[in-house]
Amino acid sequence: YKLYGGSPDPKFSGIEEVTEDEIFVEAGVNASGSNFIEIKAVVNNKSGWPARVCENLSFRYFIDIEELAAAGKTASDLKVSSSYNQGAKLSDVKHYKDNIYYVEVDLSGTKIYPGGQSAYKKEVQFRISAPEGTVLNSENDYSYQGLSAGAVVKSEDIPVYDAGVLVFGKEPGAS
Amino acid sequence: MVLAVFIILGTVLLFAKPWGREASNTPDESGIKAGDDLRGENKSSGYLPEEKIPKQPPATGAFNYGEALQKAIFFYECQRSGKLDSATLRLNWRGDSGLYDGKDAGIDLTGGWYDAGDHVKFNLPMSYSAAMLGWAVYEYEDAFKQSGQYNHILNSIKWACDYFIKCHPEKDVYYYQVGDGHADHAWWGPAEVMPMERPSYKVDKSSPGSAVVGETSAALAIASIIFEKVDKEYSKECLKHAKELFELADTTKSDEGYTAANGFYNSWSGFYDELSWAAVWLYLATGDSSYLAKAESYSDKWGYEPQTDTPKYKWAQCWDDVTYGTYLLLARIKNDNGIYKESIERHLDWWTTGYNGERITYTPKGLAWLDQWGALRYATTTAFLACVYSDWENGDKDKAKTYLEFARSQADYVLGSTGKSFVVGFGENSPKRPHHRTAHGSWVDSQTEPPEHRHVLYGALVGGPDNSDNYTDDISNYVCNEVACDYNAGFVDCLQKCINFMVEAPTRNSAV
Repeated sequence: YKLYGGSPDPKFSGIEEVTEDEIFVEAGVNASGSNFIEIKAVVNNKSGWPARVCENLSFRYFIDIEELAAAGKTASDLKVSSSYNQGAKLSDVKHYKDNIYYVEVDLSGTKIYPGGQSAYKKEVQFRISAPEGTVLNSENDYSYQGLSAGAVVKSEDIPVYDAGVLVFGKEPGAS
Repeated sequence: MVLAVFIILGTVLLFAKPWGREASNTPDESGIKAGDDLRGENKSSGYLPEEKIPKQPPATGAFNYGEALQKAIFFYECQRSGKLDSATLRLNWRGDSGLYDGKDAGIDLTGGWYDAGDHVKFNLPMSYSAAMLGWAVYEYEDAFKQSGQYNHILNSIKWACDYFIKCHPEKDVYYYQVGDGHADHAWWGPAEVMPMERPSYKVDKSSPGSAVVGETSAALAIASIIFEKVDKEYSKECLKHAKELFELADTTKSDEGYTAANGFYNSWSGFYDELSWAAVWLYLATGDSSYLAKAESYSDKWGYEPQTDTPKYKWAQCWDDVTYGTYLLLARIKNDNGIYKESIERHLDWWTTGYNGERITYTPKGLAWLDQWGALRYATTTAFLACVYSDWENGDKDKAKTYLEFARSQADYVLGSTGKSFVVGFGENSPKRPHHRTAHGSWVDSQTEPPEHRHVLYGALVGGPDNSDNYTDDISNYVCNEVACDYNAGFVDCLQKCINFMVEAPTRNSAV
């Protein structure tokens, strides 16, 4: 029998274009005062190419302390605290370069995965405070850009790392 | 990410090139070449490299059967469990999963295929599917080579058979399932992030499961035949396990220990069909006539139509019941115009022109409709049996014509003769919302989020329409839109014939 044929597609592949950001932080301003800023951040893992469990995610929130330096203070005068967090460890303020410092929020040991409402995202609220009477200006902070009170938005300026490797967003000064 | 995609693509190309083969006119020659490939870098895994698709003759059919076949085989890659090898994987939305399977029993049971839109490893339908795919290669090896799908189908079959071998750690022990059906089905998310426990279950001498052990024996016996040319060692290994498993199934003759699949894959038709099916394949694999005698010895146990002594014929070859395929194989082997020939013709007549004034239900648009569950699966699998019959030199010539026409009409129904395709990612108006957790890709344990599937489950044959051709493309409708290993097995098989260019029936390396 000679039947019907039809050629398979030599270029056929199930390798898909990744159509959305899989892992990222959404953030907003939870509270603020003249000497502090409190950020609400939600780390998301909506991975699909392929889906995967992440147990070593961390993110960095970058600030510029130029105004503190002008007031005769240093980064060691800043305090980092948290009133609510789902499994994160907060670092003290760390130096990045020039006047830029950052807080590292490390969720290592917490499984974040695309498998349910409470599994795919974890919330952390953290506060950076300057001593009483010192003005802390957020407007010049790298990671503050685009944030507002009362809502969270996905931010490229709060980069995410998996086991220390940058997987989403950009660090200050990166092109 | 984009960069990673390029790297993966590059890897695939790198793997494809060194072994790319020009079309060969003599199938044997490409068979030998495939063997040569194995002495190359792929030996470690035993998996074959991607082939170059040979130049195709002009297509004359209503649909592109070659592309349908390519995609229908690809579906099995989407179903893979265990540690994945990106070198043999053509997709970027599947990752490692089920890596602790078997750990509860202290053995490695990773691998195999997820059954359907879920993540349980049900060995009865899994081994049936591997057996049917293997049968298609046995009958129509040339068509697979012609379409450049030979290595893909062998790799798929090997993926399942490697797992069956792991499931058989000692002579009289066989693990027949990993995953708890209820716990698995209670969660809706991708395989790679399964949160629940995945218990494993076994049968043995004191708590037997003849149907699942018998079906696995058949799958491995077939594998031993079709791998003989490309991987002799593997072929031997499959045969050894097939023989031992057959003995376990045959000496226990009971499904009493086969309990974890209850409510999902019960052994409704019993195990005698599987025993004979496995024995026939062992006969074809070994030429040892004691297996043939064994297969025939259970013919009075397979079943009759109610209140008659007519061998049953009003169902289909399927994961539960392999009587019909057994009729056909035995008819060809015996070649004596006897009871098996009668039985298979009765069955195929009932599916086509009718038998004794009765005929299977046909939908207005021409689908032979057996049951609301997986109607397309039954039709395409029966179409494959019809194809195999039509190639049997000593079959009835007029019936063969009728059967072949039936096979074509069923294949075309599936591929789009009603104006819509029932194959995901193929043809016109194809299904977009198959009931499949990983292809959907929810991150919130919900069928409705996201509203569209994130991935294309190319090649998956859906359950299909009701008996009036009504079909809804709905993720939650698992009657219409379920997909499964056993659905695709008969479908892949039935597509073979459509692209089989050989002017003569394929030659057989068997005792037939």
